Amino acid sequence: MVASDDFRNFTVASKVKENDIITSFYLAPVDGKPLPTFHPGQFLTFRQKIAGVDEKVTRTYSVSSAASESNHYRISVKREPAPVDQPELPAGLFSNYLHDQLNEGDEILARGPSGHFYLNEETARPVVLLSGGIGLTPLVSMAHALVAQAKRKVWFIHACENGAVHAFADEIKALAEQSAEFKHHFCYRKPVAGDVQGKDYDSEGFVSCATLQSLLPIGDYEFYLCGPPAFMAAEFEHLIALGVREDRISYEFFGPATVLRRTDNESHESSQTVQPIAEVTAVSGDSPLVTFKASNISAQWDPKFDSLLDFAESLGLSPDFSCRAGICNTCSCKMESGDVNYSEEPLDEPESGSALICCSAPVSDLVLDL
Amino acid sequence: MFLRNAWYVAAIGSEINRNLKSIKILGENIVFYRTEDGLPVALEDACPHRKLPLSKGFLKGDTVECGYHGLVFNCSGTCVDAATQDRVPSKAKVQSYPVADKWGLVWIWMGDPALADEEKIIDIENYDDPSWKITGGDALSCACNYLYLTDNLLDPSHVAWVHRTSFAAQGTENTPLNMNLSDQGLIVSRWILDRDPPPFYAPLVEFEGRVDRLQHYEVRFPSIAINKSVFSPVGTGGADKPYQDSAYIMISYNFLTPIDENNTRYHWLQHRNTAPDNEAVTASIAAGARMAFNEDKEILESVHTGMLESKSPHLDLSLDGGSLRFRRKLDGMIAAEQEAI
Repeated sequence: MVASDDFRNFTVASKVKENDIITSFYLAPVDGKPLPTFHPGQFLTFRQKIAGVDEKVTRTYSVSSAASESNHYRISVKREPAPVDQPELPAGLFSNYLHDQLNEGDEILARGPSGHFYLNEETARPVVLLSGGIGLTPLVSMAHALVAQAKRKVWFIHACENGAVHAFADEIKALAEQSAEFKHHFCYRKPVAGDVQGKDYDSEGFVSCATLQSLLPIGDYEFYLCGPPAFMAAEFEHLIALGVREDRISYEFFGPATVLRRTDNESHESSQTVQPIAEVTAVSGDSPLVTFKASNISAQWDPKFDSLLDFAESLGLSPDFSCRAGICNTCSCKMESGDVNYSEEPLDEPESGSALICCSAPVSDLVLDL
Repeated sequence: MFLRNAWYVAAIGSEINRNLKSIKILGENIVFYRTEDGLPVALEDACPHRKLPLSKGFLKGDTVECGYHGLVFNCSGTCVDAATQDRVPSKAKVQSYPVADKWGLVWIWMGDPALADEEKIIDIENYDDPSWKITGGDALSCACNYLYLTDNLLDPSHVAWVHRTSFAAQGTENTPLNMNLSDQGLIVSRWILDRDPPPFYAPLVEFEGRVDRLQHYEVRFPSIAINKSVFSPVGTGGADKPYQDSAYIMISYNFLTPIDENNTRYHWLQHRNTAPDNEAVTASIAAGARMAFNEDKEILESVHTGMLESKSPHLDLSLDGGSLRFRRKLDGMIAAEQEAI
């Protein structure tokens, strides 16, 4: 791997607003010397003094430009607001700094690119680049490399909220124009007025097993996953359910890092060969780690969910339930560690060590017997 | 097990008269009559000799004479004459119950007589106001436990299925319900804003146009349900706003008296603030209530049997949140009362 350990000074050569929440920064080295090459998928590490914070703040952002670009790197950053349901928490420190304060001509220190999540260029297997939200950035870089090589079949599958926050749509469509081997599929969770199916997006809702099955002929693919934890966990489950070998799945979380792993005997060996996850990128806020032990799934709690039950379902689990209101005890679940807060007072006090997951959220890292 | 220290409706006032009438309440057979002065009396309906119901005997003045050997009991249950022997047995006594006339109904206190306080009988606001009108004097017996009826009266969602004809239900309503549990009972309520008045109520609402509607479902411990509907001109309704003069208010009082664990006597009153002298409206409300309650009866009797005979577990749904909280608290009150006895 070619990567510098030392921070270099970069100038913001260009600052381009991709949409309301995502802005790209084109970074050229101040010293004018050639940039080290890198593997598509790797990230830059930034270190910056930000007003109001004593220590210098360090963050990593994936390079979204092609590795063949020799005079600049592009990073594309989503402005991270405070969680919708916890407005008292601070908004993303670094992303807001970049959006609001770092302008063209300004300088910033960066190191890299580095990281272990990158395109394996030593095989000829077809590739599926599967991203959620801002998680597409490293996969855009991979897409450029794959199209330039023009050897492998590529499916670029991207899920996001709607057209208003869909970044790089034109760039990806242009890649598809260049190569008949490069196909794309855009899935909008909730299209808005003006989003046209068949033009702006291809499917609505989530990228489901059925979507994946319909897009991908039977084959031995390499999958690259990147997105928020709930997306990652759900897609990982889908791929396993479709019979994909774990060692064919590489992934990187955007947001707090977690580990996707199945530890049943059959897949245990191969789990050793899963590519280690990269360092955390674009961290915003802390949230408890929820482990569904019997299902071998861990994911960072996402406060947008009303309950642990909703959260579990978003990860592909199907816990029993009836009332979803804290009265029937059907969803009662043993807690091996951690604790929960109830949004609705249960009809009966749950037994100590048990939680009604239909009306609760974790207050700390939580291990559920589920 | 029932809550004993409570006023229950025993009968419609006119049903208790100068004839002996036997009514079973909380599993106890009770004989009712009125004294020559018109005061209601309730005695254990079993002569202490061979337990012949006193209601099989004769009303003599203000006393009851057993129809087997002529033991005579006064209004307080004391035997005052034993015709077959010189001395009245010292232990010849039947239980007497505190009773009261109120709101056109005869009420009975099934608990400690020392605690019976007529002031604790539920208040019916505006009862004497001539601009309001009571539609009452009707009752049904339901072959089900009384708590299925309280469940039902805390559950707005059943209307769409059970009352297809009577209230011409238009499907489910998604406005969330507010729930308030207190020592008095449970209130489940919501304001549903900006709707067309439902067909059943439309002829009763005197203002024009769309409505804001309050649905207020309340059950007071142990088993008096108050179901209040308020229809207010659109834009004037809401939890914190006073009722408009033009608002149509209809309050249904439902008095559920357990006969035993498997049977319930259901009395009701409807109280409205419009058209007090309109006989057609009164008749229509009376008929509507009876029709709706018969629809409930048919379902709840089968629910009772279904639950009794079930071979598999039942589910609780979100809609049961109110009624289950009510039941839990009532269970606690009953247990506390039993402990104190």
